[in-house]
Amino acid sequence: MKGVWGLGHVAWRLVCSGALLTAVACAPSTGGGTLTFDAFAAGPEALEAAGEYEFVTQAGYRVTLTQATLRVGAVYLNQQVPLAGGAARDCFLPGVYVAEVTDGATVDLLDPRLQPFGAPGRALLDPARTAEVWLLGEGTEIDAEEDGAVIFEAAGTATRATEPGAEEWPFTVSLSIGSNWRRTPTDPKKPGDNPICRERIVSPIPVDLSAAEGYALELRIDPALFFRRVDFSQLPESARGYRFSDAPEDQPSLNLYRDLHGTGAYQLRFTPQ
Amino acid sequence: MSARAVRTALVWLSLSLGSSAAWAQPADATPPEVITRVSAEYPESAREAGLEGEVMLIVVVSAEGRVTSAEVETSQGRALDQAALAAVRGWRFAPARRGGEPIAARIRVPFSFQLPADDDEPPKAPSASEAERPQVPEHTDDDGHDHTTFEDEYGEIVVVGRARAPSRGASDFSLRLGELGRVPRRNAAELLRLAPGVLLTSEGGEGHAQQIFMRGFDAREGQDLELTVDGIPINQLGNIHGNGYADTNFIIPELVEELRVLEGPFEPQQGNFAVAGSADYRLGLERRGLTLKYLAGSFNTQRLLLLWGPANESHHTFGGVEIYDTEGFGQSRAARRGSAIGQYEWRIGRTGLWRLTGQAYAVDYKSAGVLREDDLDAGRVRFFDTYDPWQGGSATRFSVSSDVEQKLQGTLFKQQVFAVQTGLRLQENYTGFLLDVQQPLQDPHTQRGDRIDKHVSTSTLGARGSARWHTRAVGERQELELGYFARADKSEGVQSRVQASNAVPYATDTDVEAQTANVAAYIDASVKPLHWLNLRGGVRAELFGYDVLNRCAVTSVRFPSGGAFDGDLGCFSQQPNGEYRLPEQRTTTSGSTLLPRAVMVLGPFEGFAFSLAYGEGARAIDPQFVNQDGQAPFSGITASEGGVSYAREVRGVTLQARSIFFQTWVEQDYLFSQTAGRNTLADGTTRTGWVGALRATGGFFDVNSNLTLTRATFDDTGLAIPYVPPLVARVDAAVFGELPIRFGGGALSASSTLGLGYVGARPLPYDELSEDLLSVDVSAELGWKSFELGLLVTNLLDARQRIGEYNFPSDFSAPGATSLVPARHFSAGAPRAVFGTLAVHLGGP
Repeated sequence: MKGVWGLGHVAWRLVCSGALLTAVACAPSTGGGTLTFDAFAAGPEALEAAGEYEFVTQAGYRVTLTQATLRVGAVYLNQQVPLAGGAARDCFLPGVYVAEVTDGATVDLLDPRLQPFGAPGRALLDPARTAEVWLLGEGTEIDAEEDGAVIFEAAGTATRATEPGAEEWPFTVSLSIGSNWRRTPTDPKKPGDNPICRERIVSPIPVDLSAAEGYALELRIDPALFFRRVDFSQLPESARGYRFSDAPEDQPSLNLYRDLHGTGAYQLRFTPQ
Repeated sequence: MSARAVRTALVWLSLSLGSSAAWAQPADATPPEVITRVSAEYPESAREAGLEGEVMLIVVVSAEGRVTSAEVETSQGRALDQAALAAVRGWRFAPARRGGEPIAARIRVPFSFQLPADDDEPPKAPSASEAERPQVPEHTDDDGHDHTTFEDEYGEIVVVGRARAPSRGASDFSLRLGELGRVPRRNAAELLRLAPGVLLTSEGGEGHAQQIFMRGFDAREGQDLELTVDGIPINQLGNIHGNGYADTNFIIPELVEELRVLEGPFEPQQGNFAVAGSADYRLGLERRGLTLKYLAGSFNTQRLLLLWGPANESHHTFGGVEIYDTEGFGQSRAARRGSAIGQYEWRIGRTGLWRLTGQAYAVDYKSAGVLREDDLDAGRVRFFDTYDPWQGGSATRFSVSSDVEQKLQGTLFKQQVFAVQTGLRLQENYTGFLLDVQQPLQDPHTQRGDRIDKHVSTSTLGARGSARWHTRAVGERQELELGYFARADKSEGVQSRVQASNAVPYATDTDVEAQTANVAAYIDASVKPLHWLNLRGGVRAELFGYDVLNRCAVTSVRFPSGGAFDGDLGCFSQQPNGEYRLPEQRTTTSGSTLLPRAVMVLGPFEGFAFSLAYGEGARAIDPQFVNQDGQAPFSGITASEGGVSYAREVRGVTLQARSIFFQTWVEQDYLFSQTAGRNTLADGTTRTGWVGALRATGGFFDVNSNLTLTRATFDDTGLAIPYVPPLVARVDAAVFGELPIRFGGGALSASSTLGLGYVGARPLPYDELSEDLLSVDVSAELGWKSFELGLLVTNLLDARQRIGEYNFPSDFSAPGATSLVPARHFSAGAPRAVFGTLAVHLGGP
């Protein structure tokens, strides 16, 4: 490299410098770019219209949802390649965040029509490999101990798929995320393990996306996958039917809560507007 | 060709007019008295050629006290003649009087140009025959006025040149302030804008070093610009905020006589940090006597300045003290500082000069930091607000220096020793609530805030010296200089993270103690095979030694050592694989490098000088980043340029013009990381550009202007380096003179100045562009007898200036989802400000 800097090349540089004014006028880019984009969320595309959603779960139940809403506080895209399963991670990924939608929305998961977030998102023109969905009430800090907002609310009925009509479990769900779901650190040397912020973040969702002008971010959430491991027969019965508890007190509630954080339920893409 | 004329160092004037009975003067008449004296410059060409001698001028002083004509009676060659004429044309007099009425007068003014004298040479006193000769025998009124002639009342004016290294080509700027010193400037750093391609920004407050951009370099707070004041280093080696941090706020602008800026590493005398170049503030006080100056104005700003320079001593003997206090514009911008500088210069017989300098400075200030553009757009903040009013800091600097310059048996010897002690505390918050992510080892917490609290102290002891020998060969003066530079630095730096709510530190990022030794030797030759061809240059050898104790060597814990750590401290002990280790780690290493530098100057045509320059520089590694043993890495810099300069005097107007094409390559650059709060290493970079500069100086005006175009890119990607301004233009102008108004026995004088700056849109990360910057500062002053009344207006157009603009992630938002994507931030420049000044001058000539 240094070889080209000798005095012998001064004349060459002087000649080349003649074009410098033009070159400066056409200053090079710093690379990348930024843009704003509209963002939407919706239920599964397979739903033809808003209304009920019927599906069969991995646990062998035929579920009919008559109501399902999810509070999405924010969506982020990150350059970081998804970490290997089980690897420890902080609440924030180490890579560069390349897109964000920070004004959330309460999404009707039984409606396939696109529902806008509160405000457009911002993005860099860099590819994203990981997505995060933050389940957060409006105005709540990600590491706040409590969040008064209902994050997931649903109602419906479930029957055994192999014995339709034999037994029915009408159920309701009203789930919030705060100290009720906080996991106690198992290692006393690591009191900061399992921070509450991690309970509110669905991550890492593998994606391969790049924002572009004229494209909108589309987040589709399939609530069927939230219930895939729920054994409705284990739900505690109350006077108002079967109700999921808002704490890890019973297996159905715990499975629902875990699958709420399952990355497979969340699909993201940029679509032309 | 550079106009690096060697400045007057000592001017002895015998101004006790009428005190000598030997002087012949008309009865009932008093001769003119000098009010304002412009020192003669020792012309570079004359100095290099070893020219000395007495130039005798015949000067006509009008009834208004102005020099209406000046001609050479005894010549010592064009260069010295012109230097004497240029100086005397700037003189202002109290006119001669007859019967109390002002009259024109013709006087004789001798200028004796002397290089530092050889000890074996006889003193250059006028001979008896010269002293006795009739000086101006005729009494004339050739311009139609009544002239009275006074004989030789000025005795001998000795112009002793402090010898300096010869010009290094077109990018070597010796910027004499003169009347341009009246252009409004907030601090001494702004004087750098007289040099081409300089942009200054600061989001750190009035006590924080300015961020300096020069010729395509983001020199941060000095990491890429070697800054000195009369040779005393300003750059702080080992400052954890930025290696080379250079705070020039201690310099009282009124005490800066001249600024030498060399853009590029083309001189063997340039040392560490001379990547973009070097700048040397040269102190001096032209006005003798006592000066008291008071400034008051916008934002409850007050400034008291006291200056004194004993009569009959050189410009380099002076004292000055400044006290400054302001509430600042907008939130969190108050500052108060005090600075004192004293200097005394003695002649050592007729053989040389000795100078002793002392300096003290303290500042306490607040800082507003940066704001997010989207918060401004949404109305969540106002333009001059701050997110974190705890930002700010304090700084101290104390230094002493002594230097000797003496010519012995044809060889010029220089020796300087200096000691500098600095302290710095900084609190900054660039990112809000972003970085304090819960770690497993920490107790559960919410984001506590990203405010950084730094404390740095540095101590420097050093010396530099040289011997410059000359001879004559092939009919030309040939020179060889051998020199050295040595400094030892001890620095301690701690950077903590502080809770936003109560300012209590909760984690330590950095805790470093470093002892650094820098020894350099250089050879600098000036070879002149032809009278129009000069080859200058040589080689510099640098050696750096490091002894670094990192008290925070382990900042992440994968193997905690039981209860031996505190999860919130940040500097951990740990127990990897069962072996306990402390957080401390000591590193010693060293590195050396050879740096060739050369300039070829061709001057076959009168007035024109063409130069080609090539130089290699080096930036020593930040002590934080050294590794045990092995060669301490240097970041290599290679620079080359071709330039042409033109200097000419036309009808009393001195014109200097330059055009320069340059290119600089940096092997490994530093870029500032807002999230880390300090500089981080980046890849190789190249800057290519063009500089144009023009200065025109006449009897009533002085205009300095420049334009710099730069293309700065990363070598591996070809992408632009963020934040570097591609276009910088600057005009400083002053108009001055006496008004045709007299009252109370004194004439009114007036001056008006303009500072006009334009910076083109700067590239920001992610292909964004900043706003361009246009700044207009003006001043006007009226003088009468010993009084001066002034009005200064900065940012005349009251533009909402985003002095600094940056793209990085931060989260200062209201409760809710965190912002994690890089966003536009800016630091606000000052709005329009109006200040009034009153100055009183007592004593002196």
